[in-house]
Amino acid sequence: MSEQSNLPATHGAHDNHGGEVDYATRDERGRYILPLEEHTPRITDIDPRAAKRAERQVAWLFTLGGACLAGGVAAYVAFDSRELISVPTIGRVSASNFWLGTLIGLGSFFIGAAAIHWARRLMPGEEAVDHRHPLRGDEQSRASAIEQFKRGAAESGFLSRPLVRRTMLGAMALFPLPLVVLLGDLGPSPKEKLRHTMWGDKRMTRIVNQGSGELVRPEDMAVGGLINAIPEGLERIQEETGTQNERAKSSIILVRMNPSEIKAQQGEGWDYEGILAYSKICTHVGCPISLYQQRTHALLCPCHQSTFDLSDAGRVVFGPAARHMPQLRLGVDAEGYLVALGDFAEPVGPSFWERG
Amino acid sequence: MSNSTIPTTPQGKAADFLDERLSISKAIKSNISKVFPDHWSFMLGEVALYSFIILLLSGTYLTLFFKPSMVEVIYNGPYVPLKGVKMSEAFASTLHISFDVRGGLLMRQIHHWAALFFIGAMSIHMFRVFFTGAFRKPRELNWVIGTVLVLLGIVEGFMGYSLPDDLLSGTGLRITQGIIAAVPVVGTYVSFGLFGGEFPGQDVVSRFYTLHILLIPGLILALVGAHLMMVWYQKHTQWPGPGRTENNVVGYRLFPVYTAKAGGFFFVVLGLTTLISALVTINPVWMFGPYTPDQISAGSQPDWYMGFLDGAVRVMPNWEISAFGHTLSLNLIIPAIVLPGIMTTLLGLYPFVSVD
Ligand code: FES
Repeated sequence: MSEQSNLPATHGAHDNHGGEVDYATRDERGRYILPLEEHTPRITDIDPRAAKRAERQVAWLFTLGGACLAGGVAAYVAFDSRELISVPTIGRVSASNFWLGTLIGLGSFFIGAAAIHWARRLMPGEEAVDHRHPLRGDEQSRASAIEQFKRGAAESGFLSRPLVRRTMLGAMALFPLPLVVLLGDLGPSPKEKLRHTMWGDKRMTRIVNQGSGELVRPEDMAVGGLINAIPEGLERIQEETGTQNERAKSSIILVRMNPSEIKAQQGEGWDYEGILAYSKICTHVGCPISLYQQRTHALLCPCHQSTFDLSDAGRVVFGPAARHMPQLRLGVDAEGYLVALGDFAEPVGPSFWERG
Repeated sequence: MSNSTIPTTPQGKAADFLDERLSISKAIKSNISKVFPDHWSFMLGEVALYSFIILLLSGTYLTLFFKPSMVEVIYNGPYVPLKGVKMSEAFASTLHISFDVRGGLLMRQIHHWAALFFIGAMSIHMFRVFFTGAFRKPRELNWVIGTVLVLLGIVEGFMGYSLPDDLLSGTGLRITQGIIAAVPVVGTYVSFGLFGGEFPGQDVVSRFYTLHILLIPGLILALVGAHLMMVWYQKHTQWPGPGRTENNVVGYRLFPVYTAKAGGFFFVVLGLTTLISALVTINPVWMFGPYTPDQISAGSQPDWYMGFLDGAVRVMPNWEISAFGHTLSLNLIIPAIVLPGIMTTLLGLYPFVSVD
């Protein structure tokens, strides 16, 4: 603020020669305020013919908008929802969707453009000035507000009758409780549900190829191969329960490698002649995995790129997953079908608090 | 009553009717000539508002045909590749909207595009407010409301694209379930509550539907109302320039210039959204197929506004603690719960902690 005295006075010192700045006004922080620029009239302000032209343009835009909307209605009637047309650079698309959308879109665009053009060309072009009023109440209002509040508070006895105050606060604190409790039946209690899959229902469960729907025999699998599979009877359970819950837990992948390539398993001899069964549900947050690189035995989850080594007990080799993929113990039954001998040794899929 | 103006015209009589009952003359007198500053960046918030209106309208249309149910049905509609496939009613009715209802696909695509524009415009609007310092006193509270609106928009968008029950959205739900289950102590119960039991259950679509079409849009609508009322009451910020001070607003009047410009701009936004929806396919759920927990499309990605969460989950090291019979999944809690919690808290509180 000290250099203020060196500057021209704020009032009356108009040395406007030579195009110098007009120091006419400053705001309360001492910053200079240039005056509002004088309004330069638009051509439509001075030339009645230009105004007339603008008027016609606006009317044309509105007319075009209305015509497009009417065209949209016609397109609704004209095209069956299944008809296709070829549009250059876009390809074969639904005719109804293309024409309806294009015409209605253009229609409302033109209406909008008309209104804006109207506002810009024919409505007042001169800027107006409003004042900002201080938001803070004046001293009198503030004092009066406080006083009235205090009077009401005193009249209520909220402060002078602690017994009422405390019991009220206590009761109100309990108020949300029933609301939360009433949500209890949103779902069943988790109990042990996350720990079991239908692989554990029987001592031996045959394995169904998820793609072909056929039971898997060991000789169906070549070394290096991968099969997406489900337990026999899953379709029936899905039918009965009407949910895909069991599928979300018991889907597996079968891979076959040379027994000599298996470095480790989750149980001694859980493979069957090099065939290994692993859960398909990622232990990170549960995406189903089926990207498998047979040379490195790496199983890659497409969701967050966790990678597991199926030749090494499903160990995590990369990514945000913390736990190995659970393995099933395999065997064959009397008729030579590949079977799982019991459930996974641990819950499949993502972790949860009670998992341990 | 000493009426100095006795209305004779029908409009005059209607206005008189309202004024005698609601004293609209006072409201009109003090608001109709309100001045708003002009700048292109002030249209970003308008785009968000208009996209929200488009969402309400197109969403209402979609509710007329969508069936929020996970009951399994066999598809028998016109889309040949999925004929005879088992799917939820939600997915089947989405196919019905896309292939049988004239204009249904258009409305679906308008709804999805408008959702992206809504969140995109809110984010860029937020950048504008941030980098121009418009969040500073007296507008801190409106910044907080804005932050909540962005969050609600993201949640609303996520719930919306979960509803069709297609393979991509089901994968998103699977990941959500895994993250909820990772929450210490209550996670498993919350997950069972949300899904009505184990994942995927039969309830999540109808529950998300109620939240998506009633609760969250209701909250957004209320907060948008508060947001606009505060802008109105506190008056809009303006860029510096000749004649602009801390104590005035320079611009055009609400009536007629802004009524025409803003009203017209709504139709422009609607028109462009419709055109894009007619020409550019978005979320072609028929190509993904119905959700089943043992399948996934390679390279599953959420909509862009969920990208920061997905990315955080991916880069997190695989830390997990198992002790005393409990599991603490730091690999999920930190990126998916703690990080967004800190980010949004800092964002919302920024006006109160930043120094001028
Ligand atoms: S779900 Fe497999 S890496 Fe995240």
